[in-house]
Amino acid sequence: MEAALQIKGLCKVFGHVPIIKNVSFDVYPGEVFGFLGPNGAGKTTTIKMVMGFLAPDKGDIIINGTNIKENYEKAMSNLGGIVENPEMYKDLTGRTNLKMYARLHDGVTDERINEVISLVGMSQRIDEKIKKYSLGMKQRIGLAQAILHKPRVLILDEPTNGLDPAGIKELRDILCHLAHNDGVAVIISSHLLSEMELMCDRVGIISNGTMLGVKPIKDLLEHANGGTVSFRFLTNDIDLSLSILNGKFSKAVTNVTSGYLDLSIPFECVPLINKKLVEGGVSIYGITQNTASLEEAFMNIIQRGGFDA
Amino acid sequence: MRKLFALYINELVKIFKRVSVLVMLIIMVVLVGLYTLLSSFSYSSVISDFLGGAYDDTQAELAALKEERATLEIRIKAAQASSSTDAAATLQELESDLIYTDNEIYILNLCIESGVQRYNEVSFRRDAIDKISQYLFDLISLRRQASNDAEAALQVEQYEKYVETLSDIVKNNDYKSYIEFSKESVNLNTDITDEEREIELEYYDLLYLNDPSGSGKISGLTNALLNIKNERISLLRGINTVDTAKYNMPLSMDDEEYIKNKLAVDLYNVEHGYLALYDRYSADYSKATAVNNAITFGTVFIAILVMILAGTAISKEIATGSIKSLIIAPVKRWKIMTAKVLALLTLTLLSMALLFILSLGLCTLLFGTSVQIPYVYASAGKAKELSYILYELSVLGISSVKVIVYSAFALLLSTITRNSALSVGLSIGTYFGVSNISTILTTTMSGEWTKFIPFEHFNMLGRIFTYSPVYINDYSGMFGIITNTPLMFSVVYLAVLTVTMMITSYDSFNHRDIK
Repeated sequence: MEAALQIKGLCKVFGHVPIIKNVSFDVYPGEVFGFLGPNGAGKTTTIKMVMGFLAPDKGDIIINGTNIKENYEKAMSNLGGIVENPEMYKDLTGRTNLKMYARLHDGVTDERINEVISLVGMSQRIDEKIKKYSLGMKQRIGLAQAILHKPRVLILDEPTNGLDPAGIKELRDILCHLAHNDGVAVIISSHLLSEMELMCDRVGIISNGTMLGVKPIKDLLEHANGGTVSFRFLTNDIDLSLSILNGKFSKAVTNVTSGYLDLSIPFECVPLINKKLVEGGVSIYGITQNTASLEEAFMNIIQRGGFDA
Repeated sequence: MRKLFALYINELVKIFKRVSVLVMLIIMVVLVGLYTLLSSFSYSSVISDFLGGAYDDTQAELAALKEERATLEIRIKAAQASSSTDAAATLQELESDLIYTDNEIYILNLCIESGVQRYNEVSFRRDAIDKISQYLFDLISLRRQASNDAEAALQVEQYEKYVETLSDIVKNNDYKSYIEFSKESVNLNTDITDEEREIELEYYDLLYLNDPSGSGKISGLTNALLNIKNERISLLRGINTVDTAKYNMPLSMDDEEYIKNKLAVDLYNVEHGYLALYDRYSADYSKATAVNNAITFGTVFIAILVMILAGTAISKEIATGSIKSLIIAPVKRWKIMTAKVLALLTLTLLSMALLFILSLGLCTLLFGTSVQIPYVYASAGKAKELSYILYELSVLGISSVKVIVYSAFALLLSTITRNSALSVGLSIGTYFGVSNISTILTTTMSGEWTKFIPFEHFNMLGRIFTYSPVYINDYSGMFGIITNTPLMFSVVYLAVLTVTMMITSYDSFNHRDIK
């Protein structure tokens, strides 16, 4: 399958400081790609180069098969997105803003505009001026603008910023629908790792201007902990559990409290341990994968400076 | 092209949905309306002050003079009675004073008798009274000489006759005789050549021909005919007496060509009665220039408006972040810039059209259509007319050159500095501070390079409409550099300047990163 977005050997220098050093990655249609990295790693700079704010010093950006150097307008017509906070013309209404943007694209009808407005849940307030909108509403209008022309590649920088939990869930549903049903390549950069974990199919990690690697999110979690993931077993019978696990799995226990045990084990071992505990007479109230684990994985990778070090 | 057009429509939406734009246009409309209205009042009061509102208090002046005369007589008697050594000198002085007073009493009596204002009047009778006054003054010394000089005695006789004739002219309001009298004095003048005499005589013929009653727009006609006379004499003598900057210099080929054309224009204007612009103190002058003034007045507001929009065009979008939705759109940056430039030009054009309709409409309403005088120019000695509407449209177009160049400057600052306050402040400041800057530069500097100080080059009206009887809201010629600079130089220079500023703006916007 051909990549929807190809980034090849991207370099950018500000003054004399190299900010982006030979960054390359591909994003495929139908996937949600998480773009991760600590502050100042070069996430936004990379995204701004893709979106045309900054000119790359070296390297190529190919959107839906078209290099932006060769046919800028054709390449950009397949791209939609929001950089940092969505900013619009504050004295104009949401609808006017969308109409103005729609004019710059081919084939965006009034019906399409209305469809997108109801998709992002802004039908009620669309004829008010932008300056009356909350940050969350601006995010929704920003998303509406970004998907108005049905782009093949959608880039969102911190899209959950300012959204309430219900809004975040709606956004997640919209993005997953776009990726998995419409085959859009969605790229998200965020600091909220738990969100990323829920949404992304693959993640790419950038640190200090260098791309550390791209992995499916499941592999990343396992890889980071040497093929193990942290799972939480909810139970009251801590002592009994510990005695059952004593021996082969004693090393796997990472955390013990009165209500649960944290075990660092490979994915495949979860049913086995569960079976052992249940057979040993322990009441298991639930098993969850620890959400902090992506964070740990992320920190590990950043500290080690790569996947393989 | 389609994308460019879409961007252009978006820019227009942004401009015309901005409240400040509408407010500024309304301010312009209101102030231009107010200005026109006020000028329609003030022209009538200026003129009435000049021609009838203020009356001379002739009776009071006469009474005061009679009192003075009585005092003088007493003092003369006292001096005659005295036998001191310097009494003779005092007596002579007092006797002269008595004659002056008598002369003035004679004139005031004449004024009262014929109903002429001694001071607050413009008419041939007032001119005749001035002449009487002059002859009476000359007679004082001539009479003294007459006792031992036959020639002087002859002249006394002649002057006395003149005073009598002129007094009759004033009493009878007899314009024809006045013209004849004037021609007679030209005939008697021995200081001029026959050809010059002919020109002088024709002046009076034309005066009588065009205004047989002598009561009409005497001043404008007189000025126009004086121009014609002056131009003819200048051509005859081959010496420039028309252009004050080259006064009394031999005529060059160009000067001669110009004066010939100017003569054709003046003759044409007299023939067609286009005289309002020849007398800047007349009511007709105020009326005829009202549209012009309103355009100049309103252009200031348009300039401020367009400079604000140009000065914020790029910088405000960057400051508020709204540039993002433009950059993300599939359009090249030069198209974004071009759309902005086109939208600004459209705004300038539309507001100029509004101003034109407004000022023409208001002035026609307040002053009537009769004052719409076409602009007359000439080439190869043949006069041609430019219709009034086309003339005012050209004035409008030339006025907008300054708006456009200054807006290009504001746009350049906005693109390069990305600071709205600086761009708007500096461009508007330069626009209004220009006269000060130019004065300092042109008075303290000299040399060819001063031609490249851009500010004075905007004064083009006076150099384009060279055959206009007056300078039109234009200060060309106030400072030395522009009068001698050809119009074409200014046009090319301003064009090069504007294109350079535009190229720099485009280059900066196309290639600089937006962080």
